[in-house]
Amino acid sequence: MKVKVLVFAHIKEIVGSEVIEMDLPDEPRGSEIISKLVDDYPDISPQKHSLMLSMNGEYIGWDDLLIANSEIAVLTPVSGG
Amino acid sequence: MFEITDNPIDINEMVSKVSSPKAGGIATFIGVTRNFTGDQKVDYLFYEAYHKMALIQMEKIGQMIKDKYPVLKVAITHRLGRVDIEEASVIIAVSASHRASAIEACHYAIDILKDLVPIWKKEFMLDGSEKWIANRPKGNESK
Repeated sequence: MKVKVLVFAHIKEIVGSEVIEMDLPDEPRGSEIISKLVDDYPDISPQKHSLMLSMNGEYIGWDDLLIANSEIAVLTPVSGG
Repeated sequence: MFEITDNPIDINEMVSKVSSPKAGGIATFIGVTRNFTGDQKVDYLFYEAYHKMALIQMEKIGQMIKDKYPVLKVAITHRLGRVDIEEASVIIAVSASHRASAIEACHYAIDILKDLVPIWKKEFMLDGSEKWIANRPKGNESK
């Protein structure tokens, strides 16, 4: 399953782009995105355990199944306000 | 009632948005840029958002507030881009028939905004350094 993953802020700076295309096995779980991201961009690994995921604007867990054609994003801990 | 803007936020406009003949009080919270973090001097802050999700989460916060407190209207605007010292990055306005609800709901709103809304702040220091900031984990008192 091809997935477009949005990234922001610090991760976006490390990646050098705000969208990453990933080719994942079918019925992927959130954790597969995290693992692939950290493998492809080792500079992210110190932050790995703080990363969060969202699907269509709602937070999801690392163990949740990703639904095809959803908008997926990897988020660092937020700091608005 | 929930907005993200690249421009300075107008407090009077925020108050007007929540004004109601049934209101006995309007509480506001203004988050501003301060000139220090720990013992370092801040030059300015820069905010970035996951725009679409930030609006979804802000709408959700509006609903969470209404589920928890008897309030009339809630308005939240967050600014993005460069925000200089003493300028507002976020303004929350809440109207309620009774003051306690307005004040408590406003306090609750800023706390959950800091937990849920996908907006990130980068600190630019006077010494030329820069750093992305993470709010403290949920449940931590000193935000």
